[in-house]
Amino acid sequence: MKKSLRRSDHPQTINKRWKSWIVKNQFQLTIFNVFLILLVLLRSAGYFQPFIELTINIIFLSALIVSTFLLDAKSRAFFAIAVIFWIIAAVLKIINIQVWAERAALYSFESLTLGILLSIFERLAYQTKDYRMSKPEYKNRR
Amino acid sequence: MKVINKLFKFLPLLVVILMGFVPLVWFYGKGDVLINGVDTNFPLDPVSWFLKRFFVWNSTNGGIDFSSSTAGLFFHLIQIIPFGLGLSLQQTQIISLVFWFLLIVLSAYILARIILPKRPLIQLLFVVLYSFNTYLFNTWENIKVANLSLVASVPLVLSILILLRDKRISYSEAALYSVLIGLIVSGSGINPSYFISFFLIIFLFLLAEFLTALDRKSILERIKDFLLVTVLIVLVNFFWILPTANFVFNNVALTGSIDKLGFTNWIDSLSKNTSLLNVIRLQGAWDWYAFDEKTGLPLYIPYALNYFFRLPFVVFSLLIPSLVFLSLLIRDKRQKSLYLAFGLMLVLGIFLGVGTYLPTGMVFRWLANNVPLFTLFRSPWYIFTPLVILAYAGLVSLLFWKVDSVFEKSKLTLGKVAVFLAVSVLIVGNFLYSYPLVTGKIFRPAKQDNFYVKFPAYIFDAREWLKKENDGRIVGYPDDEIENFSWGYIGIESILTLVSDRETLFMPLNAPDAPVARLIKQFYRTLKKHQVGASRALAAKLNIRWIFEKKDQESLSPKLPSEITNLSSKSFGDWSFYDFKDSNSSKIYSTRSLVFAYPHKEGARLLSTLEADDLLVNPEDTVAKRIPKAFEGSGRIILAENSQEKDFSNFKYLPSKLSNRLFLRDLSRVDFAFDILEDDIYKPVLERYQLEDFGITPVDNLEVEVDGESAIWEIDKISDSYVYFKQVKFLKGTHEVSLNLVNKKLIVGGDFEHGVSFEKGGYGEGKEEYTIKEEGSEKFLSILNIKKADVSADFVLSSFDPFTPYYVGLRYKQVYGNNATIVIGQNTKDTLVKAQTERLPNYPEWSKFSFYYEPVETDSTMKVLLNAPFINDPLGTKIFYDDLEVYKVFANNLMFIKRNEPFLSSPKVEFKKVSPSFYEGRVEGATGPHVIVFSENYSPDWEFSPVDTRAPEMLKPLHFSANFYANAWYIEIAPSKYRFRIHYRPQQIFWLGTVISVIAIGATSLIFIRGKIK
Repeated sequence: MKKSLRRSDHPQTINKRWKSWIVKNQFQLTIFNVFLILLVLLRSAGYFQPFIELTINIIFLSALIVSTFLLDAKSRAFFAIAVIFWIIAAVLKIINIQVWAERAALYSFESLTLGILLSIFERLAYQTKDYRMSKPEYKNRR
Repeated sequence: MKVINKLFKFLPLLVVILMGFVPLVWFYGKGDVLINGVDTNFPLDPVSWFLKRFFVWNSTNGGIDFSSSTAGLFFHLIQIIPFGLGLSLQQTQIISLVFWFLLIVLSAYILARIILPKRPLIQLLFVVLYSFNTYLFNTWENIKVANLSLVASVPLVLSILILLRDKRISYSEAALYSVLIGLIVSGSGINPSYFISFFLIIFLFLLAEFLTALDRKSILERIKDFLLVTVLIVLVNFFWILPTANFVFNNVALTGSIDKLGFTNWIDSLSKNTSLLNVIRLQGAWDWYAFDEKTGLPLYIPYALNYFFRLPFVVFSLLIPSLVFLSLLIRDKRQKSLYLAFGLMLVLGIFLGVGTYLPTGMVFRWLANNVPLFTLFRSPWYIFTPLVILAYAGLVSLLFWKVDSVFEKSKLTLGKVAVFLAVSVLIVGNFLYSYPLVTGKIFRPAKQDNFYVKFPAYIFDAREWLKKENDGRIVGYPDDEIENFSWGYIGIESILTLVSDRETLFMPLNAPDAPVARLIKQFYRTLKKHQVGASRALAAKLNIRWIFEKKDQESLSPKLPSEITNLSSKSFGDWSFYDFKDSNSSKIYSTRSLVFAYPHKEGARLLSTLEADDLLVNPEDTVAKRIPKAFEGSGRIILAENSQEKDFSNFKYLPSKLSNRLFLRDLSRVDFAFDILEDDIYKPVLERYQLEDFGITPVDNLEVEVDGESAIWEIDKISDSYVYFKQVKFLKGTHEVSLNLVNKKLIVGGDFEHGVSFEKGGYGEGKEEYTIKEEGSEKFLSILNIKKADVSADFVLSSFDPFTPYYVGLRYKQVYGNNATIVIGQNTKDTLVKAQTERLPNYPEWSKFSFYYEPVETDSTMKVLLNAPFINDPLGTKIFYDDLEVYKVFANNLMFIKRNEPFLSSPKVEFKKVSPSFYEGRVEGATGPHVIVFSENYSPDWEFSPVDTRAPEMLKPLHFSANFYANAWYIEIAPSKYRFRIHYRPQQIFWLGTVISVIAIGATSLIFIRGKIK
């Protein structure tokens, strides 16, 4: 099994990659956290009511959307979140906490939807780049 | 060895074919039964069902547009082939079911072989996940043509598109396959939203293809492939698309709220349990969540309990979506477009399948309210979940395909073994998880209302007789909307529709407020009230020839009156057909006079008072108004507003509240209010039903007050249904006629002046005390209940008539404890049929209280229970009751009829029904303007046209609605003798569509054959 493990998958490498990503995105992470804290504070103070209710669901959805711009989150990250929340939903359902299970399923579905949307954008971006790169002038430049 | 190798090669295909024979398991050990009932309509005469599909009008219940049902042609063709070969009905059904099951598994296998090459076990996994899942339980349970067609055709169409993309098939081959897919998917047109769902899947697949191959050449090729396949599929389906589109665009509101169509409640009720958690686990069927309030057991789906509470089932339901999400996380680069396509189907399928369930449901609601024709998607979970099951099968299989590929690349045998084991476990697990579908438990064999029905022999005898006897309509009795037979069949339409193509009338479950439904309801009421004269009048207007009594139907309806059962009849076992023919009754006839009805919305009640020659017309009908001399020459019929009935209706239809209960009502007088449009002479007609109970002797002249002045109405004639008085002059304006009634008290001793005259009721352990107390000269009843479950004073009505509403009034005083409660109980010999509980307000002084009770129309008794309910308090409950009185409500109709000299010619009409949408006939002896009545539900698409060239002078007939439901044409100028045709215009659109479909099929086949010969 060890033989098949790629270098990039080695725990130490992963750890290093994480650290380097955190250092690289320190500023964005700070903004992201401040944004979330701000939303939670606004919610607790009842801002925008009764016009818009700042629910935890809206905060969650905002966090997902903002993470694509700030943290450069890819579709895989969203699918990973979908898996995590689905596992949470599964556990909650098995222990018969229906309301929480439904809430977790909602988060999972939202992550899944954004993941699919993002993968469309990724495909578009990739294909456009690919298409451009296949043109002779780009080939020559390369 | 070679043979073994070959066998091994074909083993997956053999397994798939074996899966297609699952329907055999459903019938194993069940005997000579058919799967039938409720929404499952397996015809007992497949040929007539097939032939019906060639017509866009179906004559059931006065007739209805049948455009979308023509889509069932291919489905029913599969049934008539084995039936035509002489096989039994059961064998026919088994062949039909095996055909569709095989089609689904084989089409899934074809797609699996294309997208998951070289992995037979994973291909099987795809087939199993796609063909055996909880979504398909409902599809198979009701043998839903639209779902089966969609599920069978989707993998095939995707396979064709992929093969075309990979240039593995030629265009001529693709064209031929598209035609075949077109035929398979045609059944989805029965509910066009499934057909739209089919195209949604193709569109999402195409979108994913575009996104993964963005160069212009590839896009153009994909568009070309798409157009070839879809245009051919659409052309093949033109035979139903054209008439259905015509019907939808002319009859369904394109925009606006779904509330207008009454579908909001429908969508909301279906979306009650479609939470994301349930939809993602494919558990969104509404009937899974219907439980009996008392026992807590499922009402319809007994196996649902396993899926809700058994851990292995719960875990498996969560496992499949986990694998789906995981599959998207660990994607294989070689299958980019498939991941995207399945991902899009997954998200959209779940999102739309949730329907109006919040929070995502608000978008669905918005779409339903604002997007034209979105109302077609009124069963969201059922329509959109095929996208989800395809995505599940695809993504789970792709996950294992990817993992297996990785292990194969890295040559990890152990990993490959693990994948093999995991897939095998998943396949077996899915079979176990879908056990109701595999074993036939979806048909609930252990329940009384199961779908396995053994039809008694006499039904087939009746079928043969009905083939020979073909005159007039047949009305079924008892009149329950759901027919529940003692031998197991439950139907939501008349059973005769399964047996023959005869025109039948019955209480429709889906459109109870349609004009014809109200007339049928009125017909049943007159029958039950023994008003046979009125029944005959209605029967003539509805063209009823036979009353079909089903003695084997479990029902609360009273028995047919002897006036009917003494008629000549034809009997087959528990079925009897009574000949109710009226010499004046005909489906197409001419009439001598028009009678305008006021108010027309009450036409169902008015029609039975008219004579055979009278035609009831809506005064608001703009076409009828254009008839020359229409108003001057026509009669009038006016229904007066009955004050007692109005009060009862207000009580019944307004929300329950105290303000209409906290007083006593006077039922010794009834006022009838009505408007007279012009000074004239009118004949009062009073409904005769039980007049004696109100002190009115039908044979005597009637004392009335007209606008406050006493008058006597002299009897003109009497029938078993109405009392006709001599003509009375009325001036233009509003009038009021009052009758003083001798309304008998139906409770003895309700004032308690003569002691106890009630039964002591209630139950439970504890103490009770009934005391007659005195307060001044008044006596009243005191009931004390200490810790008993219930204590009551029970009064039985001296005479009870279930066809009349009742009034209950009393005085009461709640001394202490729980609130006073009155219960009205209506019982048959065997069971309680209705209980109405009135909880009286908490008030410690003497108060008045009154309310109405509307009985269930069945032979029964009625009790009034004065309760002192239980309270968990050592003092208990003490209530005083006094002056209990129960009266009948005088609900009889009073009408005023004015007749003019007939101004229309009444020629003789003969006709022949060529098909449900086409009649031809002959008119003889027309001496002037005349009206031809066609007793089929009104539709502007019915057209009357002369066929004789000798009738060039005939103007375009004026088409208007008549007799509350039917069609009529006014013909101003015509020769005395001419031939005519009545046809339903959309039938021509059907034939046009059929020609296009046939040409598409023929041309494609020719091109293919030519290509092969070359």
